[in-house]
Amino acid sequence: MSQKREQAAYFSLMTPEAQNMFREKTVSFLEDIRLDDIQRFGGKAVNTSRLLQGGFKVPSGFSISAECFDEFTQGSPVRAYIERLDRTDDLEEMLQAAIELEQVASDYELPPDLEKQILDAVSLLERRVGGTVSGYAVRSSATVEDGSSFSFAGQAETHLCVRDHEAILQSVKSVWLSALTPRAVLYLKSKGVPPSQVRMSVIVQQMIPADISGVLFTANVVTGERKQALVEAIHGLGEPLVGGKVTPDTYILDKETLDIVEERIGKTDTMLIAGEHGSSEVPLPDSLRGEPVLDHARLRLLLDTGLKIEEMMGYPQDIEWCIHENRLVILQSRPITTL
Amino acid sequence: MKKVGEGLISLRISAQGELRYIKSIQEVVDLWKEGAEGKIVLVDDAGTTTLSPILPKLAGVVCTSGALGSHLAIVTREFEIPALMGTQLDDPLQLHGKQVRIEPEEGTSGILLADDT
Repeated sequence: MSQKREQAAYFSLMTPEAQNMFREKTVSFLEDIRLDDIQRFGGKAVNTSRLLQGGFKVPSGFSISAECFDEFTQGSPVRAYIERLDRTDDLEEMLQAAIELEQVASDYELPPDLEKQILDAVSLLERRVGGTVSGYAVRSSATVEDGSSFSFAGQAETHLCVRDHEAILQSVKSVWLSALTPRAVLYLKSKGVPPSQVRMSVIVQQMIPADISGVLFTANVVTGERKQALVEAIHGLGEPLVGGKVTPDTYILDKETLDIVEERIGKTDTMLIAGEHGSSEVPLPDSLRGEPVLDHARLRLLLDTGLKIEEMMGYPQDIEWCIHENRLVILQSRPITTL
Repeated sequence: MKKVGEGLISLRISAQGELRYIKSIQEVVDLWKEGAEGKIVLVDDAGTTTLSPILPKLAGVVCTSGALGSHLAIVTREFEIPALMGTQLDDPLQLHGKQVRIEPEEGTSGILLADDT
């Protein structure tokens, strides 16, 4: 059965309230998100939808609109703290307000109709992907995120291998809260963005238990050379790489000849793997130590795919990807903000 | 100055300044109050993007972990300052308060030089 027909069949099983929320696009499957939905579903969701529509392999998922985050932030105590954060430029006061806000916001309960809507979407996603051993990834998609002027990279939280329904709901709330942590608030202020302007959509996607993960910049971000690409790669999930916990392999490639211009083998002793009970760090097998994570054939495949994405997006891209069972999966793509 | 470490450089530009070894958000606040202009900050965890409030004022960042795709490298590039990532250092504590220089080398390599007095 096609995804659309399956979705239609499943709608008939939903409560009328849940059906309305889908129609009103409070929750939307990634492929249904349009370019002009950025204020509703954020930069990451819009970019991911474009990847899907372009035929790239992307984990199935849905996005919870920023209107739900608005409902959370418009709640009286939270709003007052955000306004306080907007007003001050004193770092100590910002930190204090952000810490107090975190405590106040943690008592917030998701509206029951939104809980129902999210769990309905999870059920539909489960049916689509035929169940998932590693659970789901719950990720931020702020309306200021993954744009062309600044990235918001690493400011909000990502929850990996989230399995049961209660944990998914908690993760959604946690991702919302992460838009208002001292770290995120301070980043936004340094970019001249008042915290009140941030609206956070949340993506729930099938978790891919990656064998290899990495980032691909379709330009050399160190030199600004657009005729070269830069790849970093590690074994297992990519979180330790983007979080800067490990030193991965680094490859500089010539985009025209696909030749390797520079290769540095990383120094990692461990890898993060996805399992039934969450992600866990395990020792890197001896056979993989000191060896390149990617061979030339995989680098060529990766670069070839990255160049197609760059062409579709119309600008050099910062792409997070993984390989699972020899298939390349694109996790996200955003414009390089520093060329 | 003598070479004390090497790593991956996030941007091919040099930076020189007094190094401060930062291990907590409170130390970020203290440096912000004191004035972070022209300082080079050394951190152990590239996930520590709480450096944001002082990043516009810093001359550079040295990080003992991470690489060019780490969020810290992406964010420092946005502020147009070099970050020397995955830098192996024998004695990070000994560098606190010293004049240091981040210098690009060939390709993505960079080195950290420190005043040897």
